Amino acid sequence: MHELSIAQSICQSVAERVGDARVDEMTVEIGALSGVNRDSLQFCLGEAAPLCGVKLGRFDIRVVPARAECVCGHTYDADDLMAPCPECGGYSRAFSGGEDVVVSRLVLVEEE
Amino acid sequence: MSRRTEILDKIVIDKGDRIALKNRELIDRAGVLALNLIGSPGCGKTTLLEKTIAELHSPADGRPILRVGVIEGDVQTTFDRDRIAQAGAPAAQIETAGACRLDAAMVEKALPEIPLDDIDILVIENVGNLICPCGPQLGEHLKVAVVSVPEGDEKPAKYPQVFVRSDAAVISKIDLLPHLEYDLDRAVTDCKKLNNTIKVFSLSAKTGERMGGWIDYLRSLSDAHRTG
Repeated sequence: MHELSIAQSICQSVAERVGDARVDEMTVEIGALSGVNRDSLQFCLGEAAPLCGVKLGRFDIRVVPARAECVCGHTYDADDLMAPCPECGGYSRAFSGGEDVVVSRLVLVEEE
Repeated sequence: MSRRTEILDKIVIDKGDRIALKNRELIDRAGVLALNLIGSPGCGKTTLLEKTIAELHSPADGRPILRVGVIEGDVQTTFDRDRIAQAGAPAAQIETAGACRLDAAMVEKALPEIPLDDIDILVIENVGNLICPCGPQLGEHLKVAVVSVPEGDEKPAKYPQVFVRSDAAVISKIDLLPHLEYDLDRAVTDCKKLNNTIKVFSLSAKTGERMGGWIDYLRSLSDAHRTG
Protein backbone atom coordinates (compact mmCIF):
# COMPACT_ATOMS: atom_id res chain seq x y z
CA MET A 1 0.00 0.00 0.00
CA HIS A 2 3.04 2.31 -0.01
CA GLU A 3 3.58 1.80 -3.74
CA LEU A 4 1.58 4.86 -4.76
CA SER A 5 4.01 7.22 -3.03
CA ILE A 6 6.92 5.37 -4.64
CA ALA A 7 5.23 5.63 -8.04
CA GLN A 8 4.81 9.34 -7.39
CA SER A 9 8.51 9.73 -6.53
CA ILE A 10 9.47 7.84 -9.69
CA CYS A 11 7.22 10.00 -11.89
CA GLN A 12 8.41 13.24 -10.27
CA SER A 13 12.05 12.23 -10.81
CA VAL A 14 11.31 11.30 -14.42
CA ALA A 15 9.46 14.59 -15.00
CA GLU A 16 12.48 16.53 -13.69
CA ARG A 17 14.77 14.56 -15.98
CA VAL A 18 12.79 14.64 -19.23
CA GLY A 19 10.77 17.86 -19.15
CA ASP A 20 8.07 17.86 -21.80
CA ALA A 21 9.36 14.89 -23.80
CA ARG A 22 7.07 11.91 -24.19
CA VAL A 23 8.36 8.78 -22.44
CA ASP A 24 7.81 6.02 -24.99
CA GLU A 25 9.41 3.28 -22.90
CA MET A 26 10.62 3.06 -19.31
CA THR A 27 12.31 0.34 -17.29
CA VAL A 28 12.12 0.43 -13.50
CA GLU A 29 14.18 -1.91 -11.33
CA ILE A 30 13.00 -2.74 -7.82
CA GLY A 31 15.18 -4.58 -5.33
CA ALA A 32 13.80 -7.82 -3.92
CA LEU A 33 14.46 -6.48 -0.39
CA SER A 34 12.98 -3.03 -1.06
CA GLY A 35 9.54 -4.00 0.20
CA VAL A 36 7.99 -2.84 -3.07
CA ASN A 37 5.38 -5.08 -4.68
CA ARG A 38 5.73 -5.35 -8.45
CA ASP A 39 2.06 -5.73 -9.37
CA SER A 40 1.01 -2.92 -7.07
CA LEU A 41 3.70 -0.61 -8.46
CA GLN A 42 2.59 -1.55 -12.00
CA PHE A 43 -0.90 -0.27 -11.25
CA CYS A 44 0.27 2.79 -9.32
CA LEU A 45 2.71 3.94 -12.03
CA GLY A 46 -0.11 4.01 -14.55
CA GLU A 47 -2.16 6.16 -12.19
CA ALA A 48 0.67 8.45 -11.02
CA ALA A 49 2.20 9.31 -14.40
CA PRO A 50 -0.57 11.62 -15.71
CA LEU A 51 -0.93 13.22 -12.26
CA CYS A 52 2.77 14.12 -12.35
CA GLY A 53 2.56 15.38 -15.95
CA VAL A 54 4.49 12.45 -17.41
CA LYS A 55 3.34 11.21 -20.82
CA LEU A 56 4.14 7.57 -20.22
CA GLY A 57 3.93 4.84 -22.83
CA ARG A 58 5.07 1.28 -22.19
CA PHE A 59 6.89 0.48 -19.01
CA ASP A 60 8.47 -2.58 -17.59
CA ILE A 61 9.25 -3.38 -13.94
CA ARG A 62 12.06 -5.81 -13.13
CA VAL A 63 12.76 -7.29 -9.73
CA VAL A 64 16.49 -7.30 -8.93
CA PRO A 65 17.45 -10.05 -6.48
CA ALA A 66 19.86 -9.50 -3.61
CA ARG A 67 23.38 -10.86 -4.17
CA ALA A 68 24.69 -13.48 -1.80
CA GLU A 69 28.38 -13.78 -1.02
CA CYS A 70 29.30 -17.01 0.72
CA VAL A 71 32.39 -17.63 2.85
CA CYS A 72 33.21 -20.47 0.42
CA GLY A 73 33.84 -17.79 -2.20
CA HIS A 74 30.72 -18.39 -4.28
CA THR A 75 28.58 -15.37 -5.15
CA TYR A 76 25.12 -15.74 -6.64
CA ASP A 77 21.68 -14.16 -7.04
CA ALA A 78 19.71 -14.98 -3.90
CA ASP A 79 16.24 -15.73 -5.25
CA ASP A 80 15.36 -17.73 -2.12
CA LEU A 81 16.73 -16.07 1.01
CA MET A 82 16.24 -19.20 3.12
CA ALA A 83 18.11 -21.48 0.72
CA PRO A 84 21.70 -22.46 1.50
CA CYS A 85 24.63 -21.65 -0.76
CA PRO A 86 24.21 -23.85 -3.86
CA GLU A 87 27.98 -24.45 -3.96
CA CYS A 88 28.84 -25.52 -0.39
CA GLY A 89 25.39 -26.04 1.19
CA GLY A 90 26.24 -23.69 4.07
CA TYR A 91 24.41 -20.68 5.41
CA SER A 92 27.45 -18.47 6.02
CA ARG A 93 26.60 -16.04 3.28
CA ALA A 94 25.92 -12.32 3.43
CA PHE A 95 23.28 -10.63 1.34
CA SER A 96 23.79 -7.26 -0.25
CA GLY A 97 21.92 -5.03 -2.69
CA GLY A 98 18.34 -5.62 -3.72
CA GLU A 99 17.27 -2.53 -1.77
CA ASP A 100 16.99 0.17 -4.39
CA VAL A 101 14.34 1.52 -6.70
CA VAL A 102 15.96 2.73 -9.92
CA VAL A 103 14.78 3.96 -13.31
CA SER A 104 17.34 2.22 -15.50
CA ARG A 105 16.14 3.04 -19.02
CA LEU A 106 14.05 5.72 -20.70
CA VAL A 107 13.22 6.12 -24.37
CA LEU A 108 12.07 9.66 -25.10
CA VAL A 109 10.25 10.99 -28.13
CA GLU A 110 10.58 14.69 -28.83
CA GLU A 111 8.67 16.47 -31.58
CA GLU A 112 10.90 18.72 -33.69
CA MET B 1 9.54 14.96 -37.33
CA SER B 2 10.20 13.30 -34.01
CA ARG B 3 13.44 12.28 -32.41
CA ARG B 4 13.94 9.20 -30.24
CA THR B 5 16.53 9.30 -27.50
CA GLU B 6 17.51 6.47 -25.22
CA ILE B 7 18.69 7.38 -21.72
CA LEU B 8 20.57 4.74 -19.79
CA ASP B 9 21.79 6.90 -16.89
CA LYS B 10 20.25 5.42 -13.80
CA ILE B 11 17.83 7.60 -11.85
CA VAL B 12 17.96 6.37 -8.28
CA ILE B 13 14.74 7.10 -6.39
CA ASP B 14 16.35 8.24 -3.16
CA LYS B 15 14.52 11.33 -1.95
CA GLY B 16 13.69 9.44 1.25
CA ASP B 17 17.30 8.38 1.67
CA ARG B 18 18.46 12.00 1.35
CA ILE B 19 16.10 13.08 4.14
CA ALA B 20 17.24 10.05 6.17
CA LEU B 21 20.82 11.26 5.78
CA LYS B 22 19.83 14.68 7.16
CA ASN B 23 18.09 12.98 10.11
CA ARG B 24 21.22 10.93 10.70
CA GLU B 25 23.42 14.04 10.71
CA LEU B 26 21.20 15.63 13.34
CA ILE B 27 21.27 12.45 15.44
CA ASP B 28 25.03 12.08 15.03
CA ARG B 29 25.73 15.68 16.02
CA ALA B 30 24.14 14.89 19.38
CA GLY B 31 26.18 11.66 19.67
CA VAL B 32 23.00 9.60 19.92
CA LEU B 33 22.62 5.98 18.82
CA ALA B 34 19.40 5.48 16.82
CA LEU B 35 17.47 2.23 16.38
CA ASN B 36 14.56 1.45 14.06
CA LEU B 37 12.31 -1.06 15.84
CA ILE B 38 10.21 -3.18 13.47
CA GLY B 39 7.59 -5.82 14.26
CA SER B 40 3.96 -6.84 13.86
CA PRO B 41 1.13 -5.12 15.72
CA GLY B 42 0.96 -6.58 19.21
CA CYS B 43 4.39 -8.26 19.17
CA GLY B 44 5.39 -6.32 22.28
CA LYS B 45 7.54 -3.49 20.92
CA THR B 46 6.20 -0.87 23.33
CA THR B 47 6.31 -3.19 26.34
CA LEU B 48 9.92 -4.05 25.45
CA LEU B 49 10.67 -0.31 25.37
CA GLU B 50 8.96 0.35 28.70
CA LYS B 51 11.08 -2.32 30.38
CA THR B 52 14.23 -1.25 28.52
CA ILE B 53 13.73 2.34 29.67
CA ALA B 54 13.25 1.15 33.27
CA GLU B 55 16.48 -0.89 33.14
CA LEU B 56 18.60 1.79 31.45
CA HIS B 57 17.27 4.74 33.43
CA SER B 58 17.53 3.03 36.83
CA PRO B 59 20.31 0.43 36.58
CA ALA B 60 20.24 -1.88 39.60
CA ASP B 61 23.88 -2.85 39.22
CA GLY B 62 25.60 0.52 39.57
CA ARG B 63 26.27 0.88 35.86
CA PRO B 64 25.86 4.36 34.38
CA ILE B 65 22.43 5.60 33.43
CA LEU B 66 21.65 5.56 29.71
CA ARG B 67 18.87 7.89 28.70
CA VAL B 68 16.38 6.80 26.06
CA GLY B 69 14.11 8.86 23.81
CA VAL B 70 11.38 7.37 21.64
CA ILE B 71 9.58 8.33 18.45
CA GLU B 72 6.40 6.26 18.23
CA GLY B 73 4.79 5.42 14.91
CA ASP B 74 1.18 4.31 14.74
CA VAL B 75 -1.66 4.62 12.28
CA GLN B 76 -3.60 6.56 14.89
CA THR B 77 -3.75 7.48 18.61
CA THR B 78 -1.08 8.71 21.01
CA PHE B 79 -1.45 5.70 23.34
CA ASP B 80 2.13 4.57 22.89
CA ARG B 81 3.67 8.02 23.35
CA ASP B 82 1.73 8.28 26.60
CA ARG B 83 3.01 4.87 27.75
CA ILE B 84 6.61 5.87 27.01
CA ALA B 85 6.20 9.23 28.75
CA GLN B 86 4.74 7.36 31.73
CA ALA B 87 7.87 5.19 31.71
CA GLY B 88 9.90 8.37 32.08
CA ALA B 89 11.39 8.95 28.62
CA PRO B 90 10.87 11.85 26.22
CA ALA B 91 8.53 10.69 23.48
CA ALA B 92 7.00 11.98 20.25
CA GLN B 93 4.12 10.43 18.36
CA ILE B 94 3.77 10.15 14.61
CA GLU B 95 0.25 9.29 13.47
CA THR B 96 0.55 8.09 9.89
CA ALA B 97 -3.19 8.37 9.11
CA GLY B 98 -3.24 5.07 7.24
CA ALA B 99 0.33 4.76 6.00
CA CYS B 100 1.74 1.30 6.65
CA ARG B 101 5.22 2.44 7.71
CA LEU B 102 7.24 5.45 8.77
CA ASP B 103 9.33 7.34 6.26
CA ALA B 104 12.25 9.71 6.75
CA ALA B 105 10.13 12.83 6.19
CA MET B 106 7.78 11.87 9.04
CA VAL B 107 10.75 11.29 11.36
CA GLU B 108 12.26 14.62 10.26
CA LYS B 109 9.10 16.38 11.48
CA ALA B 110 9.06 14.51 14.82
CA LEU B 111 12.77 14.89 15.65
CA PRO B 112 12.52 18.47 17.03
CA GLU B 113 10.20 17.13 19.75
CA ILE B 114 12.99 14.91 21.11
CA PRO B 115 15.72 16.57 23.24
CA LEU B 116 18.58 14.82 21.45
CA ASP B 117 21.24 16.45 23.63
CA ASP B 118 19.67 14.88 26.72
CA ILE B 119 19.53 11.27 25.49
CA ASP B 120 21.96 8.48 24.60
CA ILE B 121 19.70 6.16 22.60
CA LEU B 122 16.83 7.11 20.28
CA VAL B 123 14.39 4.35 19.43
CA ILE B 124 12.09 4.89 16.47
CA GLU B 125 9.26 2.42 16.95
CA ASN B 126 7.85 1.79 13.49
CA VAL B 127 4.21 1.17 12.62
CA GLY B 128 3.23 -2.40 13.54
CA ASN B 129 4.01 -4.27 10.33
CA LEU B 130 6.59 -6.93 9.49
CA ILE B 131 6.86 -6.16 5.77
CA CYS B 132 6.61 -2.53 4.68
CA PRO B 133 8.91 -0.83 7.25
CA CYS B 134 11.98 -2.77 6.10
CA GLY B 135 12.31 -0.55 3.00
CA PRO B 136 12.83 3.08 3.98
CA GLN B 137 15.86 4.35 5.86
CA LEU B 138 14.80 6.77 8.58
CA GLY B 139 18.22 7.93 9.74
CA GLU B 140 18.83 5.03 12.10
CA HIS B 141 22.14 3.29 12.72
CA LEU B 142 20.61 -0.13 13.28
CA LYS B 143 17.40 -2.01 12.64
CA VAL B 144 15.96 -4.34 15.26
CA ALA B 145 13.21 -6.83 14.41
CA VAL B 146 10.77 -7.91 17.11
CA VAL B 147 8.77 -11.10 16.70
CA SER B 148 6.72 -12.69 19.47
CA VAL B 149 6.17 -16.31 20.44
CA PRO B 150 2.37 -16.29 19.80
CA GLU B 151 3.01 -15.30 16.17
CA GLY B 152 4.54 -18.72 15.50
CA ASP B 153 8.07 -20.02 14.95
CA GLU B 154 7.84 -19.86 11.16
CA LYS B 155 7.70 -16.05 11.01
CA PRO B 156 11.39 -15.46 10.16
CA ALA B 157 11.13 -17.87 7.22
CA LYS B 158 7.83 -16.39 6.03
CA TYR B 159 8.84 -12.74 6.36
CA PRO B 160 12.54 -12.90 5.47
CA GLN B 161 13.33 -9.35 4.35
CA VAL B 162 13.18 -7.71 7.74
CA PHE B 163 15.51 -10.34 9.25
CA VAL B 164 17.98 -10.02 6.37
CA ARG B 165 18.12 -6.28 6.92
CA SER B 166 18.15 -6.17 10.73
CA ASP B 167 21.17 -6.09 13.00
CA ALA B 168 19.34 -7.78 15.85
CA ALA B 169 16.13 -9.72 16.40
CA VAL B 170 14.18 -9.96 19.64
CA ILE B 171 11.94 -12.98 20.14
CA SER B 172 9.53 -11.66 22.73
CA LYS B 173 6.98 -13.18 25.13
CA ILE B 174 8.99 -16.33 25.94
CA ASP B 175 6.94 -16.56 29.15
CA LEU B 176 4.22 -18.02 26.86
CA LEU B 177 6.44 -20.89 25.63
CA PRO B 178 4.90 -23.45 28.06
CA HIS B 179 1.44 -22.71 26.65
CA LEU B 180 2.18 -22.78 22.92
CA GLU B 181 3.77 -25.08 20.40
CA TYR B 182 6.74 -22.97 19.48
CA ASP B 183 10.14 -24.28 18.42
CA LEU B 184 12.48 -21.59 19.69
CA ASP B 185 15.54 -23.30 18.16
CA ARG B 186 13.86 -23.25 14.76
CA ALA B 187 13.06 -19.54 14.99
CA VAL B 188 16.62 -18.69 16.06
CA THR B 189 18.17 -20.96 13.40
CA ASP B 190 15.98 -19.44 10.68
CA CYS B 191 17.02 -15.92 11.73
CA LYS B 192 20.66 -17.00 11.40
CA LYS B 193 20.05 -18.69 8.05
CA LEU B 194 18.73 -15.39 6.76
CA ASN B 195 21.45 -13.29 8.34
CA ASN B 196 24.53 -14.95 9.76
CA THR B 197 25.60 -11.85 11.69
CA ILE B 198 22.22 -11.11 13.31
CA LYS B 199 22.14 -11.07 17.12
CA VAL B 200 19.08 -12.90 18.44
CA PHE B 201 17.65 -12.30 21.92
CA SER B 202 14.78 -14.35 23.26
CA LEU B 203 13.23 -12.75 26.31
CA SER B 204 10.13 -11.81 28.20
CA ALA B 205 9.73 -8.11 28.88
CA LYS B 206 6.74 -8.93 31.07
CA THR B 207 8.58 -11.20 33.53
CA GLY B 208 12.06 -9.77 32.91
CA GLU B 209 13.39 -13.23 31.98
CA ARG B 210 16.60 -12.98 29.89
CA MET B 211 16.29 -9.20 29.54
CA GLY B 212 19.95 -8.97 30.60
CA GLY B 213 21.44 -9.97 27.26
CA TRP B 214 19.38 -7.37 25.42
CA ILE B 215 20.29 -4.63 27.89
CA ASP B 216 24.00 -5.57 27.69
CA TYR B 217 23.77 -5.45 23.91
CA LEU B 218 22.28 -1.92 23.97
CA ARG B 219 24.92 -0.80 26.45
CA SER B 220 27.78 -2.17 24.34
CA LEU B 221 26.31 -0.56 21.18
CA SER B 222 25.95 2.77 22.93
CA ASP B 223 29.51 2.60 24.34
CA ALA B 224 30.94 1.67 20.94
CA HIS B 225 28.94 4.47 19.33
CA ARG B 226 30.15 7.10 21.79
CA THR B 227 33.81 6.14 21.54
CA GLY B 228 33.26 5.90 17.78
